[in-house]
Amino acid sequence: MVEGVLRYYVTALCFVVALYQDLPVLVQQVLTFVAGPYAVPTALAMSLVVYWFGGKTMADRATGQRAVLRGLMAACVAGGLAVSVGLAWQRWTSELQVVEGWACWRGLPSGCPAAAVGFALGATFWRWNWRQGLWICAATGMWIVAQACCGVRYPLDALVGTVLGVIVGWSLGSISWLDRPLGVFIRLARWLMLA
Amino acid sequence: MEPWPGCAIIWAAATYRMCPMLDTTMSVLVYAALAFVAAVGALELAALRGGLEGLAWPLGLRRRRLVYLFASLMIALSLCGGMLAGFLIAPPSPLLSAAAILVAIGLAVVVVIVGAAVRLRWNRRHRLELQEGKPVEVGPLRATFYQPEGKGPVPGLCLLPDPTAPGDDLGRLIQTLMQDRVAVLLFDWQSLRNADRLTLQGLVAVGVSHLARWPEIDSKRVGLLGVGLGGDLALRGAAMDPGVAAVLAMEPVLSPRRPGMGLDGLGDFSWFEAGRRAHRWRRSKLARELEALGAIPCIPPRPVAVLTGYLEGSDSKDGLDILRMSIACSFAPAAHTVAVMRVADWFKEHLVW
Repeated sequence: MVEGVLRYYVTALCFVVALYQDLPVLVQQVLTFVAGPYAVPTALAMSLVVYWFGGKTMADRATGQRAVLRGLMAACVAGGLAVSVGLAWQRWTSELQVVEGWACWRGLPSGCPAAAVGFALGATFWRWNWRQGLWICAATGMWIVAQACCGVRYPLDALVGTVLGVIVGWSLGSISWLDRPLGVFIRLARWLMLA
Repeated sequence: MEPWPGCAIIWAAATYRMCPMLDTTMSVLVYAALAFVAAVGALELAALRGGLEGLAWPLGLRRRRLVYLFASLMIALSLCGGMLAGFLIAPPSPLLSAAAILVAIGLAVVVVIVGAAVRLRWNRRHRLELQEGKPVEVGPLRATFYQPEGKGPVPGLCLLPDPTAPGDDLGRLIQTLMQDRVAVLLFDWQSLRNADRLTLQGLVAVGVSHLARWPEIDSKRVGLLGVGLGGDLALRGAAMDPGVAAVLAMEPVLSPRRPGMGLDGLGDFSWFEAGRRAHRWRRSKLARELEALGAIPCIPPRPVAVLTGYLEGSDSKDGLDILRMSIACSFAPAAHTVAVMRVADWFKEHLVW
């Protein structure tokens, strides 16, 4: 049964990679760039910088800063969970001997922390301002699709990461008592003239 | 024909690629440098959105379009550079990449804060040239008297700077008031060291009575105008002295908790200057002792107003006019043309007639 699930996991990647190879070279190059660890993480980090510093009034800024802190917290939790899920999944499937010869084999599934982190951030921001959330989710989605196309990730890994990220981000975004500890942190940053 | 210098860079990058250790270091450095460029652009954009001069570097916020163009160029440069670097150097691992981005953002914040401080210091050298005032000394009171051109009697104003920031430039405010034919007596707190509340209140009373006795001044139209903690002092002074015809406080403290700490302080000042001022505020006993909020009910029916950058709330309460502005200017309200114009208009209505 485990072997069947894993085979399905890997076959899905074959399908996506075959689609990718039919694309024009320029599109492939752009997708390779987007899939890398620079473009989208940098864009997300810069968005956080703008949300932290960029409100028009002190109240606007405080709301944005709370969203940024919640987003970072959700991203850490979701990333950690995704790594744990990946490790558990690897432990579960590591005893299989048959897999080495499969087409599109890229090693054991890993749980996709990138998708978990990005979508956790996106889901948290969606609760604050859906436009900002949509931008983060769209950027992360593009990143993960590009990674799957380039064969860096299994598509189902990305799906697991996405589900984890959205659940964690949405749940952490709705916990109201978190405002208090986050407020303490913001007050400390305000004391340092950085919030 | 000379080879194109870029070839050397590409060759060097390709050579590095063959050595895995150097390749990793090189790629981390290149991506960190690119993220740094993007972070400088993003911070400039954030400074523009929040009106934070203390975070705006290398451009100030006066030319908005230029700032937008610069920030977009930096971000585009970083993205294009990242794409180009992808062809030459293998990107670092995701963890190293995340670390490089974080370090680059931290470095960019430090560079922008220092750069903005240098830029603001340079800009402050060009202060507004005021016509020379007449020095006034009455006992311990030191002040400068500015008289408008033309014949009197004219209304007079005692201008009280913030005792915790006595060196602030109030030139624009004085010039605007004089254009409206208001004489100004600018108090000089710099000669006083650690003056307590009672000494300062005494000096305000001396200044008001001295101005009322000045030959060209209409003694029934003498007002008080204070900036920051000087605003609290003005409110206290007006409550105690029935001879004050009108009083306006620009961004007074009103309670021991100082408003406008944090990023709001970077609206006019560098991070270092804002930090210094915040520190002085926290240490100042005066801010705790004045309690100007309690003095306000004693002033009406004489006109009394408070100018503030907070938008929420009503515009009038128990005879107090609340002049609200859409800019946060808690540390240096007199540096903003909008604030100065509102103050001048209010006095024109209540003091000049």
